[in-house]
Amino acid sequence: MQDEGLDVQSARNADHFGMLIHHLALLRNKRCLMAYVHKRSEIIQSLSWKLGRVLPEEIEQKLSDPEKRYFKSHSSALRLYMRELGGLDLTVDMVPPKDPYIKVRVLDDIGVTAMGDRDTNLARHSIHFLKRTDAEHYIFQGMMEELLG
Amino acid sequence: MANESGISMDDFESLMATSDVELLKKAWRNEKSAPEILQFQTSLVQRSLEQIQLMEETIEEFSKKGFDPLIVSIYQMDLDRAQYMLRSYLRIRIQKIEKDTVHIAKTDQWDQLSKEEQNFAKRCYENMKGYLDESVLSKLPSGYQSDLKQSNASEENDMVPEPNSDTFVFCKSDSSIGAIPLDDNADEIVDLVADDLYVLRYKSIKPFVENGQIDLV
Amino acid sequence: MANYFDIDDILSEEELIPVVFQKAATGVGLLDPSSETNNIEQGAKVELPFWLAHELHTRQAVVMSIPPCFNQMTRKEIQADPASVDLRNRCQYFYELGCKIAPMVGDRTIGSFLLYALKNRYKEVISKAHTATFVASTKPLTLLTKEETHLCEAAQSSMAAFKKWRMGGSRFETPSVLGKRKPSE
Repeated sequence: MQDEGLDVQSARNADHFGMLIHHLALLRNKRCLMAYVHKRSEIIQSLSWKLGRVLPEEIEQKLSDPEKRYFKSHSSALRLYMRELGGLDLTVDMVPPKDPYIKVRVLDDIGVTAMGDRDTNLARHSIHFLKRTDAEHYIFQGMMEELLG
Repeated sequence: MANESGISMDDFESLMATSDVELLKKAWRNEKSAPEILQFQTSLVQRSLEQIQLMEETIEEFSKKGFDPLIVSIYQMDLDRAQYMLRSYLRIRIQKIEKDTVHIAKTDQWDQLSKEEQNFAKRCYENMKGYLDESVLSKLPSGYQSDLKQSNASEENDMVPEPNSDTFVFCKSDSSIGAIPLDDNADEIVDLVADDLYVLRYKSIKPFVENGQIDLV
Repeated sequence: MANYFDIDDILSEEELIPVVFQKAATGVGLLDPSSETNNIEQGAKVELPFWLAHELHTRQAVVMSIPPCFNQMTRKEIQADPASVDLRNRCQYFYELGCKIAPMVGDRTIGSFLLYALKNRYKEVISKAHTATFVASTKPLTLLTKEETHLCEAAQSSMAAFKKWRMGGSRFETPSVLGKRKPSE
């Protein structure tokens, strides 16, 4: 009689530990999945800093639909914050300034753009002397490069 | 030359030497090195914004009045540096919020945020939660769908990453502070001498960073 | 869990640990290759990844023993010639796993052994990583664990950053995600 009770008890224990292992495996799988999507979300966050609101096609292709939506909503949250600050753009000035003006070469045909108080024709391969904050966005988007010396 | 403009150079010098620039530099450095978010410097940021605007106007006036371009560009550089510091300060904070949104929202760190930062944090969390729900969580078995708890069996929020306050930081102090315990048992003690550079655990000097006695570098 | 999303932390817990089951468990026979049923018997010896072994250990369902990368043989090898032992091959997350496992198996010598290994290997290999002569022979790099590789790379990149700063190179960089544009495009 007592033996039987013990058997039932240990069978229940065995079920319990079997279940526990399944539970732990589920948590583990969840953690792995979450770490993966979270890592991607961090990359998307940094994209919204570097690239503004529009993704280049070659990157957009690689994102899932929820990721595309996340990119949009996150970069609009950033823009909203900057607007609440009174329009202070935090995505420029990413490196400490040295000279107010830098020499750049245009890599893409950007066309005529307002630079300061006058229009400048940013044709491909042309070289310009621009305000650092004006040029920064183009450099980050790979449309210009800084010329040294 | 200066007198012609109506704004004397002396005024301008004193404007730029205002200790606010130094205060901003200090707040910026602390924020840069601290693993967690610090108290938002509301009035300092407000004053800095105003001063930057004033400097912008002054420079514009200088260049309109045909000052030596070299001088204008030197003032421009000074303005650039102040502006960089302010932007960088705000940016570092926002990036900390992006990283530790949930932790900040659930602890007293929430009160260290400015109103605008709190708004950003709320949106940031909603966006992140929406994204995680859509990508993974909604597809898990019920009882495992929380974004804060690993499962319903968890007693606390055991999925929330936290800043690592065990990390080491470079720091120094203007004045001698005396003995600081390096761990909870006070087994190890360091005697902080003014202007000496130390590498210590952030955790052990946190209260001194908060009350301004120790600066991070 | 402070580092729930940390991928390295997740991977470090993937390492296999030998355990002995103190309790039986049903429905999980696949963990024990020698089991003929779908169950694990009491006393079964199997290898489990650390994340599972650890949880079962705290619930007294299994008893953990020390994995081979912390056994006497490895210790002797490291004592003899710290720099030439291939730790990467034995355990990518040697230090991280060591720190996690030390309090569980009640072996107080693991801590000091880890410290000894890191100190001496650092002296031998990692500190040489950013000297010019080292670049020519990259072989020792293949012996390093994840953490040691990080230290190495940190040393190299700060050296490179220092040189760049001294020479005054370009400080603007195009995000690498965009890839290099071909001049002909």
